[in-house]
Amino acid sequence: MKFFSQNISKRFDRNQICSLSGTGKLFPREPVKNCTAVVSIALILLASFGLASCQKVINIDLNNASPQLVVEANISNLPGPYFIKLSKTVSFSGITEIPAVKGAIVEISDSSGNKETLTELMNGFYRTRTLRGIPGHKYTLTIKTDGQTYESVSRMPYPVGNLTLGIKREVDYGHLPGGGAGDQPMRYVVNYEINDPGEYKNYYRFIVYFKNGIFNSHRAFDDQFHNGKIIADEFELHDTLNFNPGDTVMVELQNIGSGAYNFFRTLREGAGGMSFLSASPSNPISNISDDGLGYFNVCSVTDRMLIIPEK
Amino acid sequence: MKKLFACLAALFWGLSIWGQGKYTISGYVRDDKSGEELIGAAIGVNEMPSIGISTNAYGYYSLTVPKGKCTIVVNFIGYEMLSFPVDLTGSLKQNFNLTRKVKELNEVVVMSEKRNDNVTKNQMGVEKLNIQEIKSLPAFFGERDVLKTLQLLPGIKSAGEGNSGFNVRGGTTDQNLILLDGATVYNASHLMGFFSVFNPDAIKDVTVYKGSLPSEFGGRLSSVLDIKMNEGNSKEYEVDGGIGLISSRVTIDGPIVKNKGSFIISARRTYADLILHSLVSANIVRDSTLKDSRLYFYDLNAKANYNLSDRDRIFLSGYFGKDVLGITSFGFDWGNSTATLRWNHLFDNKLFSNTSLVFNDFNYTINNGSTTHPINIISKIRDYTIKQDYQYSSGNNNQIKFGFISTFHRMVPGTITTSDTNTIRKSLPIRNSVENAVYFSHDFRITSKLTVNYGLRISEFSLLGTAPFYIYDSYNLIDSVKNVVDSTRKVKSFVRPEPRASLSYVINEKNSVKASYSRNVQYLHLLSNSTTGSPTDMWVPSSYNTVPEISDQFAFGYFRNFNNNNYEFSAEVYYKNLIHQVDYINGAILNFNANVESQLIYGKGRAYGLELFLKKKYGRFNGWISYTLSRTERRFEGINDGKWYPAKQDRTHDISVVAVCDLSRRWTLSGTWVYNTGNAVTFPKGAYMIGNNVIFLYTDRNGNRMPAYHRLDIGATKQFAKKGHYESSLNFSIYNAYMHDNAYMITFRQNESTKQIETVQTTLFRIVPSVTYNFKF
Repeated sequence: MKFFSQNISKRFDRNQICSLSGTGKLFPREPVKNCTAVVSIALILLASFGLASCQKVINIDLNNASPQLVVEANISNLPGPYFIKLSKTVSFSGITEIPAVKGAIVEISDSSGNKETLTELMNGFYRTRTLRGIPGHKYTLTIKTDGQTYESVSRMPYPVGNLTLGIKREVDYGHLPGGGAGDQPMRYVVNYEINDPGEYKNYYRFIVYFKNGIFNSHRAFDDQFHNGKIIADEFELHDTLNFNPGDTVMVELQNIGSGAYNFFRTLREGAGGMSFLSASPSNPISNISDDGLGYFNVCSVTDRMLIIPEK
Repeated sequence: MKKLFACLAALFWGLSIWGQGKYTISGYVRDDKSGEELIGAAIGVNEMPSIGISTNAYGYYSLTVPKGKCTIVVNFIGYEMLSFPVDLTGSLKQNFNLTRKVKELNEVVVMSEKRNDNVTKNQMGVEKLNIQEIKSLPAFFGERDVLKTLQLLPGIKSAGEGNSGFNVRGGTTDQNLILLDGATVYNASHLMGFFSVFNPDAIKDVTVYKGSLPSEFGGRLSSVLDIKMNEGNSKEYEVDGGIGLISSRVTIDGPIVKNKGSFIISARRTYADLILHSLVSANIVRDSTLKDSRLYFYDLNAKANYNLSDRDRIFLSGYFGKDVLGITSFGFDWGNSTATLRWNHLFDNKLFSNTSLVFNDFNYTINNGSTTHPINIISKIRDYTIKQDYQYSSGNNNQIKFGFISTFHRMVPGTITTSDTNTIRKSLPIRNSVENAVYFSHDFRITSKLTVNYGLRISEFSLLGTAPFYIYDSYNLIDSVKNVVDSTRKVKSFVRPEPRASLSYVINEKNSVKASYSRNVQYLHLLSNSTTGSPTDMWVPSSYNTVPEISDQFAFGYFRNFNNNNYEFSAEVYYKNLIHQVDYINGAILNFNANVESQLIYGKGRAYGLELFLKKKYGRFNGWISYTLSRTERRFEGINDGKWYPAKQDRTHDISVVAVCDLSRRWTLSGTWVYNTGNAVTFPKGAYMIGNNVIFLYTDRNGNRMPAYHRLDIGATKQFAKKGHYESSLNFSIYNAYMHDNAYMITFRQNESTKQIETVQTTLFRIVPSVTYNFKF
């Protein structure tokens, strides 16, 4: 019984249930886990009659896969240095000690003939020295380790010319208590307008920084149905308990490549794979060659500071 | 095509010749107490064992007999055999009323040659369920369920623990056509699949076709589940009912005009929410948010029929059911409604016509539970159907069926409304389509040993439209159709012929072999990314991207009866080839995605297996053993390097054992045991980190197995002594009697203190005892 009670409150936390809150962006931005919620209620009820439904930790043989390289590489049109992190996949038993990849030869070259070998730091990090990202240039990342060579190529998109951003505090209709009495829950919503350039296919991703840390990232999206038009939409900020009026948040719009887009788009779905409702979980789609995992994100950045509005 | 028509014409002409010098006896076979028509009752001639026919779905028969004296014999399981001497000097209209057998302990079973129907009939891959049979089996939470009983038959597998969804011969759950009095039921489950929408009190007959479908059916690849509702007692009023742990039900039926027409109304409601509320109030369940929860479902079945004349009969039937689920800030309701108006007409004693107008609707609503600022997501599927069937019997050796069906589908995948302003905030594109088919089939007994049935169904599907329609090449938009504004214009059409044939050869009274081939086409596709299926799974019509799914099935069977037909044995093998199967790309976003077709990929499938079935039908101790050995695989570009991989419903072994024993006049004991190989699933093979998040590493789709599933259910029914009109019984059931921890799901999580990854198995029902009181007066 205990499991189900815990489970149900978890299932109904604000992120999961119905992002159908009243903001105009009514469609849940990720697949709604409504069914999870429903199953939970159904289960709790049946379980209360079913006597001793249970959850237990079991051992199953998962015949471990051989270790694979994991790449997290970001370069942008902002001044460097840029950092690249290399690690490996582990079996479940090794999860507490993810091995850093040491002694790899990491190179980034661009389409105008510049080439740089990155300097190795601690814990699998590698750093550029002189490289500066320029929109329109094509970048090639080459990693040599354990006798294998991995590669990823991406052109840096041009930054978006016109970006309008706003932040507002509003009643969270999606989470009103049943009777509507008591304190109304509030939420913060960032609304945006992007003037999408028509000549290229564009892929976007928002990152929100608060007090110098990455604090929210909104799912990646593209201009498939809005090419050359204005893309206007909004997204909700989560975990905003520490917000005070007058604080600033920095919202960064990344114009990313198609490879990175596919990675970030599929990261959320497959990530964790904790949801039993997904019948066929899979890895986020990587843009690294030779079965390398992770991403090489070559992006151009447009950012804006926003001030948290009064209550 | 010309040749085909020439053949048909020759055939019809031939049929009329063969009728010479013989007369036809036709009419209805009914239960003498309730007046209810009996489906599948056998009518034969005592003097001529090779002549025989059975009643159709409306209890109607037409038998051709040489003139002169003979004795007509009518048989139906559970009823006394009826003999009727006739001296034919002309065609005769004759209805038969059969008397239900009184349960006798030391009953001597009277043999009749019709008990080997399973051997002699040209029918394979068909399972019929006797409602009485369901009633004596153990029930999950005391709720008897036709769909769960079906899952105990060979080739039909449960989609999951306690789940009413089923897989037929490797098909997915959406590849089953479920018809309730001819109306499509899109979602046959209550309470997330733990119960089915079919209240057994309202059901008369359940037939599932898993092999060669009769040509009159189509639109799904795997099977047709044809469920007919009771007509009601046309002689006297009756009340049936039951009181169970989580639900109660009541049925009232009786004559409208005695022997002319009858009605039946059957209702059922669960009260799990009431119990839950009292558990919360009594502090047994400590979660106060559940106090305001709503959770119940109800069903209402109603049917009426009336004999307008000897030749005309009309039926009106309807089903209405709803699930209501809700807690404080969330509500989810869904339900089906169907309505069928049907007219049976006899042109003469050889040509039987059935005209139906059918409406069905499935919808769900998700809301935020707010009374002041309600927001609703509404989704609907609605069909309007007209169906015309003709059945022509020429002699006893020829049965011809032909007709047409036309259905208009309207799909509203999702509309969001807020009633602050009462406006539609956002809407997924509505899709309308038309599905038409004409069909013909001929059942022809060539010799007394060899029977052939062949048929053709030609179906046509058109997407109607308002633009835009987008055309994708796996995720990438490559083209679009924008200029269609007329919502009734056909924008994309498909025509597909569906040939079907079966052959049976009776070696002798005890042995026969049968073979069949069937091509089925499915124009509507269900997109589901969940393991168990959910009401929110989305149906999409065939379109510019998704073409009709096609299956070709070959089956071969051997049928044998033993021990004076007391034991039936059958062995069937099948091979199914499936093309244009639909799956989704890795990381697909299916729900509430207006461009959901961009998330789809297309591939093929194959399924093959062996089904063994041994049944003891008669006597104090009866039951069956069924075993299925099978494989179901899929192949998609981009999944597992384009190699064949097991479908999630692939199960190597599947065994069911069912036993019913009449202990005494009062007590009946029953038990069912099931065992099956676990479903194919995708488990992570390891993990890695991206930023601060643990990401699981997957290597291949469906590369793992759930643990094997097995369970024993036992039941006992005590029949109380009859007091006047009042009959009652008490049913005790125990689900999962030896408390095996079956895995409902297996999940992986990081332990917060040790940081290790744990594999967690969730078991839903360790043991579920229940008791139900049933009554009738």
